[in-house]
Amino acid sequence: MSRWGMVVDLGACTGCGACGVACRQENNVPDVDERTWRNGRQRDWLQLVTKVEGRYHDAQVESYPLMCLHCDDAPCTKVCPVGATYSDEEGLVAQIYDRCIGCRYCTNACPYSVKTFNWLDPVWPQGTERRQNPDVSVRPRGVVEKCTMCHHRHQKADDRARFEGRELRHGDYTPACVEICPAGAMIFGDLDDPESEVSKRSEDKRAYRLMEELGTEPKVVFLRPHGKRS
Amino acid sequence: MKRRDFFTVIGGAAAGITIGRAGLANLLPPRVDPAARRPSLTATPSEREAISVCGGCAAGCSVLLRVVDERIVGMRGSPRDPLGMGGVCPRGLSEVAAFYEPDRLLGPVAFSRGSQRTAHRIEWKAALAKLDEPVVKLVAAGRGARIGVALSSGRGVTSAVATSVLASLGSPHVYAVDPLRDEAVRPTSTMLFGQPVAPGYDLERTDVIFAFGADVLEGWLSPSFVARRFGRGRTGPRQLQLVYVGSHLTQTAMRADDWIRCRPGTEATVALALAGQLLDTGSGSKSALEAVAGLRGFADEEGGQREGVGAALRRDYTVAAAAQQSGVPAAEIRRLARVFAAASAPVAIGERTAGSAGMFGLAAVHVLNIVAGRVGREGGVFLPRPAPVAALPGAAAVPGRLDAPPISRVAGTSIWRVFRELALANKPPPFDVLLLEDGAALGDLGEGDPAFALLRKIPLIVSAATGLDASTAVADLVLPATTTFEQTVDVEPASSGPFSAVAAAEAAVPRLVDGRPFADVLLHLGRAAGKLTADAPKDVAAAVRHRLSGLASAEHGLAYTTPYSERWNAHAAGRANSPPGSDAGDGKNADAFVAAVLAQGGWVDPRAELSPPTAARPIAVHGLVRLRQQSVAGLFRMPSDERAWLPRSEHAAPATNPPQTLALQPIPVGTLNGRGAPNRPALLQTAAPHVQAGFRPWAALNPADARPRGIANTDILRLETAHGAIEVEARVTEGARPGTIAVPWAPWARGTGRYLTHWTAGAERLAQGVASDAIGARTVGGLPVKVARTGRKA
Amino acid sequence: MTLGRRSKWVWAATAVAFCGSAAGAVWLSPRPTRQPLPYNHAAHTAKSDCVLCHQGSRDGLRAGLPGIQVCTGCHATPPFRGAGAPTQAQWQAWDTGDGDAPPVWNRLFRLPSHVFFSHRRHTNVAGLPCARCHGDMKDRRTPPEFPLRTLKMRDCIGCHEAEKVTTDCARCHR
Repeated sequence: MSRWGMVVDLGACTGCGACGVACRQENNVPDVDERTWRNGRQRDWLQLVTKVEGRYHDAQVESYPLMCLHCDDAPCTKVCPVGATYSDEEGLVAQIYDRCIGCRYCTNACPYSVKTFNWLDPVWPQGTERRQNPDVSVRPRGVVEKCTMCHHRHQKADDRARFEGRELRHGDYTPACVEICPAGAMIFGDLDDPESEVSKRSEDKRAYRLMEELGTEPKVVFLRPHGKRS
Repeated sequence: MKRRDFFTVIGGAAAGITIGRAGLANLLPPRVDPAARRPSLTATPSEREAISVCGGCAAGCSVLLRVVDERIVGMRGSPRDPLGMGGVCPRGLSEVAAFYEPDRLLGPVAFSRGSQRTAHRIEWKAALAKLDEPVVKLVAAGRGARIGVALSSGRGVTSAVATSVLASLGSPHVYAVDPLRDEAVRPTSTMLFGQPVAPGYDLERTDVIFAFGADVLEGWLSPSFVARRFGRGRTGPRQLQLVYVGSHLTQTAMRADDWIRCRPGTEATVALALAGQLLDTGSGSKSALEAVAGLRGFADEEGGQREGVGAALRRDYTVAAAAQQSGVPAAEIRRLARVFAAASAPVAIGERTAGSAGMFGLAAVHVLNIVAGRVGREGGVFLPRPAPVAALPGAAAVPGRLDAPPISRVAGTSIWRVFRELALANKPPPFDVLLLEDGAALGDLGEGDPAFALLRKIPLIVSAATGLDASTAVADLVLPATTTFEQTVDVEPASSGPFSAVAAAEAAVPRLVDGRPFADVLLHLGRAAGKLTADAPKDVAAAVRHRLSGLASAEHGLAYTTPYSERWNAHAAGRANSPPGSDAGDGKNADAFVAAVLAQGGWVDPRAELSPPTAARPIAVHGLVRLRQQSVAGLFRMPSDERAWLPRSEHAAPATNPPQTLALQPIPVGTLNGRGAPNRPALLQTAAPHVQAGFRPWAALNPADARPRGIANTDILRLETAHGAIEVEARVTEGARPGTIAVPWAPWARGTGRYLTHWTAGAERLAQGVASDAIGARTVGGLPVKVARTGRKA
Repeated sequence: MTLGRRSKWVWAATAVAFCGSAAGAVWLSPRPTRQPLPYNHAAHTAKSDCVLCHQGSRDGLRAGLPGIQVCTGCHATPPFRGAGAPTQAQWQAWDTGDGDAPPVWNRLFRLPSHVFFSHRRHTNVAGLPCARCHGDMKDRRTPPEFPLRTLKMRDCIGCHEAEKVTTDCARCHR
């Protein structure tokens, strides 16, 4: 069994946001009007977080793409009353829309605020539903959703591998964000495979995890940018 | 109710259910699930990956579309694409949404002129007849030069067809407007390098990038190319460094290793101080300096002696003077000069996409490259060589272009600046018929610009836009083009590394609406006027094949292959070459070669030809002086000052701002603007940092400026300059130099997009009358802006 | 029955209940699915396999329904006569792809979009016969109007548990 994880090299990330756009297209994330967005009523599965801290003369910048970190010890899975969100066999935190009752307990439990609740019916202006990815459902109002590491791609890749009578190979399963990144800043793979790039890079001296002190053990590892900030 | 009554009612209900279930349903027509009627769900499902060329900007990345049941449901970059190498920028990916844009025009539209512009749909036949009539008349009267075309798609089949068709009609007027390049780029190249060719930057082999106000990571040039090279540089052993010289913490500045905080508009000053330092300390490249004309004293055209640029640098752009003007400490400037000198392959970049650096601003940054010997060297600046595509049959080029002397002062000037000059001189419009490829072909032409008024006087304006945008707002006729996904197309990526390439692909999907390739419309015009020769291509697909066939006989080059792979490297080193058809495994078959090129997404010659300047063919910096001679005050609109004739911002702020104003810094939203469609695809309406407000433009200022004015986050501010006023939302941040205010540059914002009704004008409205230097470029860094609260909140 | 014993309001309520329930029952009843052509499974399954027409059922995720060219590929003339039968010219036009839109089959089994189901994993890898889930079509002479078996999640889970195959939600839900 694999244990899927990701490394994001913030030294290479240009902050273009292609990852977020790819995620929206791949996962049929609906558009939202400004008022809804401002009220915090809808979030993208993958947001580009940018924070400027400190004072002008030594302003510190933190900018990173933030998606569900698929924690090994995920707080959201512990509070779901119906088992709609849980850690699956390969370490991904799954979100099963049909079980979700929309209580939003998990959304509140997540310390990274990466889960989003569908307050509204999704709006797909006429004709735009043609670009919906047929491999992913279109969620109704009333359920929570979040990054799934494009698990549907794993479903298809695994099916193909079994059909061809072989194991899943490296590169068979890649989330949309990792695939699209024009800077090549995102690496995805099996953390339990010592030969995989993701497991090697996650041990890099620049590696850090968000809010590590909470003990969530996220499986998305960030690599601090090189060099000093002036 | 009594129990019996209750049971009676219930019994009635039960009887109803029984009757209903028993078979009444069979009397009614069968309900068919609407989803079941979709042929895609009943026939055997189909899924394929189709190669295409992205049409989001002029860069021409090769992309792979995921097509399920003939619907485009995804996109990824082609791993063979030499630009993105498998990556795609956000704009490119959003073309999937743009394809299904609900406001996409279904077919040709005619607009009536007058106070009430009403639109009505017309058939292609009628629409083309409306266009043919004046064109045929003009050509018959020998006045074909009254027909003009403005393109936004860069070099490729569309521009080649436009050029050859218009030449057949007797017109030289095909003008390219590239929204992702600084408008001063080509005129500056004319001045320095002798030809109006936009330079390229060999970012693959650079080790330090000095970005002088250049937003290199923000939709600049080819976003995929830059991002990929940046990523490779940062993850590889070379550890690419980025130094950003500017007044705000832009996306580029945030990722820089060094943010050099200078006043807006003084980036060029810092660059010249560095150049002066290199000359002073003798760190400039001695051999390179041999190939520079004008560095030392020279005789000007009137026979007078002029001091060389080198001497003026050392006198006027000392570290102390630059520190005083820019606000960057002298010690910092000296340190930067040392960093530049110590780097093995540094490059200085001054081009920007939010406003222009101006000809002098760009030249200043290039002077630094020139003095350090970075022109025509690995990792530096180079002039790209075009791919040896076959020329389309047709007439030779016609003289009389508007963007070259004698009509323009410098070759490569933007057509809309020429229009401005004509308008200010009260001249009539130069065209009777103008075809616009789309809104991006209008560049940053705003409503208040004199050029706009002249444009409106043209009797017939035709737009080929796929949706309502700035071009359809002025057009009489809209003949919607097909997207690049729907036609055979080729694009020559101009903003890439020192290899020459052509991205090419056949139509990936059938036409969604009743559009036609713009090139086909132009070919139709040529035939209608009876001016096309028999061997002219019959449509765009034939034109593409013809152009690609020229590559089959090139000595070097091959169909797109994975960049920096064994095969690529062998070709780059010249250790392999490609006789025609080699990619198809067949030695001599040009058709098979073209088919292979189309199947693999394009053709590339990976050899880097940097063409370093030589003593026989030098870079000429004394062009700066030559232009200066013609009329100081009039030409450059700068205060006439004999000594300070080197580049300097028109708005370089004195040590203190005029009271109550902040200095303007325009911020690009380039990645999102792309081809300039204001009805931005839904996928881009996301809260990425570039548009963190999501849907409105903003103004970023330091708390030190916000507090005294009582400004808090999300307050709506009124910003005003001598040229215009806007209302934007405040964003108070420490990432802003005190005394400055950063506003996005959003020339195409017309607020017609579904969720974009709040995306109103930005910095470009504040600067609409600004016209700097010989080419009228819009250099706006440092423009003083009055800031006031409106009392409202966003 | 003595009408007078109950008030007219009771009868009115009963009438309303009767009509409402009947209408509701009709509305909510599963509607039959009718096909454009009276395909006879029995006549075909004797000679060929499901996969001849349901071309994805062995190698694909979705089994699919045949385009009309699968029929015209074998039948040179329309294979039935009578009401609704196509003319020879029409049949040939469907074969070459010209002319009017060909008939389109209406789906009986509709997989919800939130479920990932791979036919090939079940038929090819696991070796299950089509009839196991779809019911036995070999004796059907007319297209069924209702699915022979209605499949619910508990049917999938039941079989998975019996065969000791994964019941992890995320394996099928998407």
